[in-house]
Amino acid sequence: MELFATNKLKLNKSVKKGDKESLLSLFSPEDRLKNTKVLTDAVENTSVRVSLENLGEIDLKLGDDMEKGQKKTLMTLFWFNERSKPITMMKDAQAGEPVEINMYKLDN
Amino acid sequence: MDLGSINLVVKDPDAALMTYLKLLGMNNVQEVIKLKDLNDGSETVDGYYMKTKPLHLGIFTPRDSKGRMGQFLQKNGEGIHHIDMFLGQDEFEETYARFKKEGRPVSEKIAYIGRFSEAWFWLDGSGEQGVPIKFATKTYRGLSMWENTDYLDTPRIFQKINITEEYIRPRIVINSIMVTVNDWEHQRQIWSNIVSRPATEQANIFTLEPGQVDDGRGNIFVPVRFQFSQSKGINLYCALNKEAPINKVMSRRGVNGMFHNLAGYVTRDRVHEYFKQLEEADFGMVDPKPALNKNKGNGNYFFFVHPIRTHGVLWEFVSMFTRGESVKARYDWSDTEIYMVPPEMNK
Repeated sequence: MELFATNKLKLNKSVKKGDKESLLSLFSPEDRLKNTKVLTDAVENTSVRVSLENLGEIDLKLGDDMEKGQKKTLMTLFWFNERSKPITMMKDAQAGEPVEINMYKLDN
Repeated sequence: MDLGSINLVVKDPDAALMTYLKLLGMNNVQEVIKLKDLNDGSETVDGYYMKTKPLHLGIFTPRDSKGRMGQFLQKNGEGIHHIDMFLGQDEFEETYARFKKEGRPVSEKIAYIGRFSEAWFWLDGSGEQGVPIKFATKTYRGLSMWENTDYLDTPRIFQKINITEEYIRPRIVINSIMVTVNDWEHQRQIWSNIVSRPATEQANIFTLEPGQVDDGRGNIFVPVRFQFSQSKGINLYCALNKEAPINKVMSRRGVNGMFHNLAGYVTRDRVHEYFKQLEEADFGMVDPKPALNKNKGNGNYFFFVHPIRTHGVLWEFVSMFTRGESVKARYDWSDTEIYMVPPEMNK
């Protein structure tokens, strides 16, 4: 899997193992608008595995064509329907904890 | 009576002015007036008045937290504070008397803004309409209610300012404000009474058929519009589902109504270009690209800019369209340069 983008955000709420959360519920609007750099070209609807450092992961589809080097945010990578999809939490975590987000391109 | 301006309360008017010049483009702002010490007897503010067509945009910072804008800023942070309705003087005086008779919470005294020979009064946000509205006139004679007027030597300083920042955008027209309310049965009539005109149904903007709209983000609402000159309007939205995000925000604030967002209209063939310009300028774009509105054949592109980067104001930008006297929408092709079939085919 090719690394597509990375970012480091802070949890906006405390979560427990088994909770269903989403990119929208986990991160504050400020963090959701934090820039990340696209590392490789990808076309609209490409599946991207969004991995939240030991917390959980989900496959989401890109909302537009992306070019290497473009600045994007969680909001501009994915449409509302994608970023609100539930992610099952794999462990407890506290509000304010930093979370490394790695996004991998799944298909070409 | 006409819808005249939208007015924001901000912490730093200089920073907000730069934000808005960058957002709207200097080519869409005809004039900026700097105002210092603007006092209406209840509050003193400083700021800027941006002349844009057809709605003006006021940017104000209150001197303290005691007045209505100061209290709003302290409680809610930056954002849309009020709208201005412009009236001829005769209608202004009649409206003040009518509102008093109806028991609406209007200013105890009219404020006479000496240096502009303008007068205004407030309809307080505690009124049944739920949001503050200012009613203003340019006087052509002495006020008949002069005994009930504060004559104020204000603003202490006003001047046109030269804008040196260079931001050029496609043509953008600001002509709509969206208000959310939570009492559908009554609010439509309340607003109709206040703005002296009927509401028009807006579920389908071309046919004006009534109905519900699902915005895809948890709000199912009924839209109506109060139409003013030059396609300006106030859209009233009432979410029918209790768990709707717009109801939650009002509930959190403890209000029955609030100004939800502003809408700007963009030259039809340049919506995507404008989106990219804002994205590159680090505005908080809410989605990956402009969305094509397929609801009931709408056919317009639209996108939102997050309030975090626009001093508390959620902005919606839509492909340019106008509304005639019937209030029915019609695509506006003026300024559009790139097409395959010429717009003149519909003349």
